[in-house]
Amino acid sequence: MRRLIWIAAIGVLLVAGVLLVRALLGVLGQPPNVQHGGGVEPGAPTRMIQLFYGSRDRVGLEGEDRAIPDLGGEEAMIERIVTEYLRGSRSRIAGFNPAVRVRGVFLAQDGTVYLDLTSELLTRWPRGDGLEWVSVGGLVCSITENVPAARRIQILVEGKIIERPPGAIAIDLPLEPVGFRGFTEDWES
Amino acid sequence: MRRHQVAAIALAVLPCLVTPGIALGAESIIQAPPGTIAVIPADGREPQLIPRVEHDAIDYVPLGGFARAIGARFGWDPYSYRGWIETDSLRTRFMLDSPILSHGSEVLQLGAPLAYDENGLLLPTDYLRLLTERWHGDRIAAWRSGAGLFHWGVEAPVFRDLRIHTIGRRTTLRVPSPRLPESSLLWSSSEGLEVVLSGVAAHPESLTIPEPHGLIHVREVRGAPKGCRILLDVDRQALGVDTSYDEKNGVWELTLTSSPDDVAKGGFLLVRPVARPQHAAGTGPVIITAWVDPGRDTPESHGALVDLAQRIVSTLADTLMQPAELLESQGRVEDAISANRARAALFIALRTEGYPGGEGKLQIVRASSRTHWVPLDGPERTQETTARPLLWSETAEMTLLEADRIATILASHLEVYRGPRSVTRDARPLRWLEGLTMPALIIYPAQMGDRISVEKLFDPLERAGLARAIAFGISEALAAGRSERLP
Repeated sequence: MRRLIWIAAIGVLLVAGVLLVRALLGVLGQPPNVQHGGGVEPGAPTRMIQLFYGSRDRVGLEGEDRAIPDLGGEEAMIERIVTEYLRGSRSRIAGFNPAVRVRGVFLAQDGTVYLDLTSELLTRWPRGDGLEWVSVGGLVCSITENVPAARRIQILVEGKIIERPPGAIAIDLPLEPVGFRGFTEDWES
Repeated sequence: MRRHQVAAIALAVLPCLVTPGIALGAESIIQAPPGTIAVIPADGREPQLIPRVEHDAIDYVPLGGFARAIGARFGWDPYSYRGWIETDSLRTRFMLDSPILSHGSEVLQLGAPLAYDENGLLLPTDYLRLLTERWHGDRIAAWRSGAGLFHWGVEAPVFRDLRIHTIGRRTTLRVPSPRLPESSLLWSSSEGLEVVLSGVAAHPESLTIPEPHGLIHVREVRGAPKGCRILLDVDRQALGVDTSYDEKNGVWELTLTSSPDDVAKGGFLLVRPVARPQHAAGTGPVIITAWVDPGRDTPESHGALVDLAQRIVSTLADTLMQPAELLESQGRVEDAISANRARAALFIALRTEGYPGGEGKLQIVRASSRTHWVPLDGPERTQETTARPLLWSETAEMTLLEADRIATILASHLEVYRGPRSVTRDARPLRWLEGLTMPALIIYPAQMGDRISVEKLFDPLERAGLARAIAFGISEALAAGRSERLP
């Protein structure tokens, strides 16, 4: 009887060991903090991008790596970045309505990106100054950090400039990333 | 009679009405038939009539018909709602319901969106010229809306002399132009005022540049694609600028004024600030207000914010040389106007933060840029026009730097009170703060999702301590600012 118990215990330990090794290999085989974006097909060329969402520790932005299809020109890339950004984050704070869709992207010669989004953007606008700041800032920085030609972002809704912004951020004007970096780090250092 | 029948009849009689290759600018009496536009190329090709439709009081032309009339191809993708017109080398893209068009890498903002009806994709007629001029090298287009005539590919008319005259406190530069040119004004601290005109060109050899007069000194006239650039030195007394077109005499005019009233009434754009930057900090009141968010704040947090503001004002009465006022908020924009009119030295708004994460640190936030502004108002303006004038952007930048300086001193006082690393400072593109003409900050004393932070806000003893820390910070910052400005 005791022998059977020993054999059973060794068997359980072996199974647990195999499962542990498989789990570790799975974790080690995957780059840390990387999610695959929508539409990435096996074997298709991909590009690593960094998206910016709200930190859970402080009112500010944190980067998150994603892989998205590497196809088309700069406008197509911006459209994919924004679509990926709007999918949100599992571990960080995203304030925009995930039902928002990209209607069109135009990149002007002076570096202004005209980003045309659907009206769902305004039907559930991020509530609260901090959440609004990191949501809009995350969108702006996610584009400008990944597409060097993009210097500022003019948000349009259904093709029009928002003449009366729904919150505190002046989204009726092109937004530059410098407006979202703040000087928090300077102060804390 | 249906519109297309009118158009068909009109097309048949068009050669009788319009002459191909007609000289642009001639006092012609010809007119397109009602409900149509005559597209008249300057290269002698046959004019064409296309329908003209109206939607929501906006005058439109079918883009497909217009493209064919100027010899281009038209395409439309019903799935992406995008249209385009193109030749072998050029392509301009449009999107339905969108007031932008994309020409190569250039994106142009239109004042009205494209529309769609049984005629297809419709372009507002106001933008026929904007579109066509991008398609035709150095030549220009001319749109006479009343007559329904669209001439394109013609040479820009040329002027040989500029005139300046002064009446009272206004000086006007007059540029002969048989049609309304497109104009834009550019400020540069080194170059002065640059006037960019499209649709009228300066004669390259026999242009007479007038002597300096009143507020205007014409320094140079340069050629530019489809037009010209006029560089002006502007007298330091000038405060506002306005442009207009005298259709009867065919003259485009730029008027500068040194009268503050002209700017105050809204007819002129402000070209210089009317206040010395030194005036901004140190002499007006310090304004403290509580900005409550009715969707998030409870009556308790509302009361706590107002109480904190009152305590700050009370403490400032003992520590500050200038008055401190509690502003009962009437709305963000109204508060900005009140503060600007009061010529406040400093504006501080208190607000709760609703961020769903974080440790509930105190936050101090200033604007990241000054792109909006609310006009100044007050009797002192006329006395201050003798101060060294600065461009608006210069004073805005100085105001932001001053806000940084005050935020730094405030943060050091708050850290002494709350502990190290308890305060953050940020610059954000907040439109309410960008409308203020003095250093302005928002202080977030509590984060509503953080229990400890909320408890501190609701504790009267904590509020008293916080109010003292903020008031001492303000007093030190303004006192230091005054001593720095002393000669």
